[in-house]
Amino acid sequence: MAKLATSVSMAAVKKNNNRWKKLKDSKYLLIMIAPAILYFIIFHYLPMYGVTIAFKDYKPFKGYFASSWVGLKHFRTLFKYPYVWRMVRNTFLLSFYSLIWGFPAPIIFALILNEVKNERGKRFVQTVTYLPHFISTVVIVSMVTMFLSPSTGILNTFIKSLGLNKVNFMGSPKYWRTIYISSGIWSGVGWGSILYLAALTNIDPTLYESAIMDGANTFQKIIHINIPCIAPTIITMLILRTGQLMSVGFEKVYLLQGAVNLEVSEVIQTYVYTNGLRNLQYSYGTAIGLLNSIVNISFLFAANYISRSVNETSLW
Amino acid sequence: MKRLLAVTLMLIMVLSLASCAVKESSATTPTNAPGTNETGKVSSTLFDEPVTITVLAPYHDTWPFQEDWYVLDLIKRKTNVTYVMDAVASTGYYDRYNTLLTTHSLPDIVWDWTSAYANTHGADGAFANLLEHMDKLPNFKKYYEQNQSAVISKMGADGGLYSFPVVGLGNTNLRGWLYRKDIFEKHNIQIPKDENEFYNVLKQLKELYPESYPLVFRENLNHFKMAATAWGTCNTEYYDWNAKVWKFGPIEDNFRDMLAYYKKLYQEELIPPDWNTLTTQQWSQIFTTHNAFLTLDYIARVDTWGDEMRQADPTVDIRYMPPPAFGKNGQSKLRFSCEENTVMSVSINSNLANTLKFMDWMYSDEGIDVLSWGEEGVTYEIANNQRKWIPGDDGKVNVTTIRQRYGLSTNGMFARFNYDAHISLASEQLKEADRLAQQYQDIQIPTVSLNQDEASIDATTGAAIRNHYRGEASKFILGERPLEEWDMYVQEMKTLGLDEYLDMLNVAFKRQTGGS
Amino acid sequence: MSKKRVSFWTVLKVAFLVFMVIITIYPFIYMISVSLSGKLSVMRGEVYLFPKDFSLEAYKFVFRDKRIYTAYKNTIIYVVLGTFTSMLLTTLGAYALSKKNRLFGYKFFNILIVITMFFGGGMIPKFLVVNALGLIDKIWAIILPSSVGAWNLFVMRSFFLNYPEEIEQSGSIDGLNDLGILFYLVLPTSTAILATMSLFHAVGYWNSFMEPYLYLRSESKWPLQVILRSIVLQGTSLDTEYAGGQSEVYEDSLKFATIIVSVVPIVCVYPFLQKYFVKGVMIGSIKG
Repeated sequence: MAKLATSVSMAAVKKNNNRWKKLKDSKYLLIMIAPAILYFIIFHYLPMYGVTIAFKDYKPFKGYFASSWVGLKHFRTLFKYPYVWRMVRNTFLLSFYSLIWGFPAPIIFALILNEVKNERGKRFVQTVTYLPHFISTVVIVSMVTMFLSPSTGILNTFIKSLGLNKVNFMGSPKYWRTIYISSGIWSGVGWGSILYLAALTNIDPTLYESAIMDGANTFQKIIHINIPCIAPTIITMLILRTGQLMSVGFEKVYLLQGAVNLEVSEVIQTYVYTNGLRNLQYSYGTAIGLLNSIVNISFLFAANYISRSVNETSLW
Repeated sequence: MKRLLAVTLMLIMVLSLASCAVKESSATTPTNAPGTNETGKVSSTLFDEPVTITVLAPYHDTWPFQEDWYVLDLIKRKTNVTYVMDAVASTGYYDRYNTLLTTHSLPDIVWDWTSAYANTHGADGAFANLLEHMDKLPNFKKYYEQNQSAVISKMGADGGLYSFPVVGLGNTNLRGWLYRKDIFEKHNIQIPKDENEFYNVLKQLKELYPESYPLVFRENLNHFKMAATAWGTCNTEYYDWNAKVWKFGPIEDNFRDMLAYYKKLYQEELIPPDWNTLTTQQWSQIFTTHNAFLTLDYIARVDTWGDEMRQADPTVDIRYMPPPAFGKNGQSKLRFSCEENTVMSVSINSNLANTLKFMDWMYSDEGIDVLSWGEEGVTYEIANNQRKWIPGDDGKVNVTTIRQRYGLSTNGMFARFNYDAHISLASEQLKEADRLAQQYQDIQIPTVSLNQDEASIDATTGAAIRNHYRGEASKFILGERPLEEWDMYVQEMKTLGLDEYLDMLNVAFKRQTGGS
Repeated sequence: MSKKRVSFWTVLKVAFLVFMVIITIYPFIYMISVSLSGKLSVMRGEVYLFPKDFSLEAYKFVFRDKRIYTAYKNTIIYVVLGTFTSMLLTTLGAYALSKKNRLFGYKFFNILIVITMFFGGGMIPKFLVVNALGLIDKIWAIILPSSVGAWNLFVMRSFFLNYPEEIEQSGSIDGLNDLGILFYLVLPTSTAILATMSLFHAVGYWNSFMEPYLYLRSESKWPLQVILRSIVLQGTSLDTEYAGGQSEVYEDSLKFATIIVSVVPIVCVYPFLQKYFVKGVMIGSIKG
């Protein structure tokens, strides 16, 4: 018994010693991370009590602490909305398809651009393709509607010139997700590729030299050298992106929304905007946001867990 | 007492046709009568001692706030008030508003687009309930008693009035049928009076101009906001003044007939095939390129489009068309569109008495006159007994330059406006449209203020009903759902909780109007 | 045979890139053309590629507001100062976070940071903190509250994770501590990621609207976005203002001119940063 106790305490001391050593070892690292942590505590954790309004009937003039508690009332209200599951499904599907199509696009683009030997041409393409990122969503959406218009749009003029029937793309729920996702790729692919282009510059050229000696072609070089080398970046981005599966860019969905496509385009974020805030329901909006975040963070934890099990890269 | 007041109030509402601006009597004779203070001594300003009043208002990007605006100097000279404005961009205004509200640092006066914020926060104690201060507001009381149908929409869920309605510029929101008079005359087409004549006119135009879509409108189903009234129904819930209950338009037979009618227009290409996705830009493109001859929009288009189009073709003439009565229960009326939603609320603070007195001055004859027209010799001159704005150095004068130069009629710079000041600058066509549009508008549908529990019913049942309507109405017109299924659709609405929703509105409205 | 295949891939590659260039440059050309065209031509939808009825009206309108010049200056100051601050905090933090086996409390710090991506107290509690720190109407109110960001931190960390350990080890043998290794060895060979992250931060500060809008009181300190944003949003329901007949509904030409005026300077930053996207920097350092 005593022996056991001693060995336990010995182990504890050893562990403590280990921890103490690790703490001492990481002295400089801790100094380096301190400002960032301080930032998160001050600007994110101090204001976090604001989340409590999800469980209150928040009245701004009375303030956070004087507003009365109502428990889970606002969460229950959400499930009284007859279309709640349709809305959840829309949010998830839209986000999921965006991930499937939108996530690889900038990677593929960066890999192709990386093969361009002409330095000036490469820079030109890089600069031009990242331009749409700077056009505000409002304008992107109005351009999309303009290009797709059955009467005046470029795309329909083209379709007609092929002798086919014009299509009212925006007038049917069928095409809506495709339009949302492809216009997202169009406006975001250049910007998204910057990160991967930066990652590709870090690759050791000697790897290529040996690959060429082994007689590898361009394809093989990309598959066996480029992709593995930028994998940590890809995986980090993928995990972070998974944590947004229940969120879609509100502004763009809202602007592309119309009576005809509501059945596919009503998502959680637009519901909160058009109905939750309609009668200044601050608490209701916060409650939905909170629920949304919990689902999102579960996705992220799951993605991180899977990633950690199958390879070395993970967030923690 | 309150109950009695409410009963009379309701009575007046039912009897009175809502009209926009009650025409101010002082159109030609300036009323610079000096105010009299308690001691009977004649003083030239509202306050004897200098007073500072602060105000929060969003500025408009076309006429951003200027600290040296004439209007501020004018207010100072007339009232002895130093009017300090916190003018901020309109995007994000409510975020600024909320931070000031939470920290209890809102200025004396808060300008807003609607009374919703004032009602919610007023009930919590942020803003003064004007009904409790009526004895100090003689000029406002006069307005209040003459316009109770308008004031009722500004009341909160608890029956309190937490904001001053900002009125007089609602005419600029007037909407109506606009048509190409020159084209109609050229082909000897008569103005249609009912749905059959209207259809025939469109048909005839389509034959004359096969490439055109004779009728074009924007914002897809929102078109029915104005148009449904002529069919004797409404595109949302509405108050039936005769039966004194809330009803829901999109389940009524009249509404079905309307959808069937638009289905026919769609199938025969009398409206554009992409009517439900047209952007404002595309819509205006169709009309201004002579590919449409009828639309329903702001009457100001008579001038804005007309002027642009006449540059290329001087014969273009866009006019207001008296609304045809559609269907079995049709009426020659359109939805009330002289919307005056904007308000100014007064914070409860140590400056309250002064602020109320100042706000009341804005409703006085002098306040209305100087804040609409400025002063003779400075902003306007009188010729042939008519007031005329003095043009600027560039010879130009219009409602935009008046705002840019003087700050008159900008947000927060008036509470009751004399619309004569603006309409005097309009073209004859627009003056005519303004007159007709007022004449042909229906009684205003009141706004209901909801309490917390009712608001959550609105966010669930209400949202579902609105959604279902929007989705299905489109399908009916496009032919994706046969109109034979109308009864089934009405049943679906009931299943979603339409009756409970209307019950909720009835209860809320009764409480708001004092229980009668 | 082999030569032929290569050229086939080259053709495909070039065709693809040309296609990308066309579809991404077109909106910009269109915006520029519309912003330089006459009102009537725009209204009639006659502008496709080149300006019609050339007119500078829209730009005159944007620059009519004299506040724009001060706002430009302010924006540049905020971007420069903000990017510097953010880069300093993010680089230090990301480097520490990349040392999985050595950093004390590694998991704790990571989760602490991840949580902030999902849960926030909202605008008002944050405002109250900024207020309590006495930052209202100070430059730092725009910079500090958005200086780090979990996303940027993790992205930068992923680069340091991939950094060859041999270089770092050579540093510690030379007696450098972690700070020394970062500044003398790692950073000089990580110019691409530094350039990328600087760009991300700079664009973020350039576009920032909410912070300056809420935290700055004096007009003289407003950045460009506070003044121009409502012009771009006007007429959409995202804007709170009714586009009534009374308020002039802005023409597309004006909106586009506003966008051009507000993005051109920041768009020009990227081409200058591209020279840091050089391959093989690190290799030189290893061999050296």
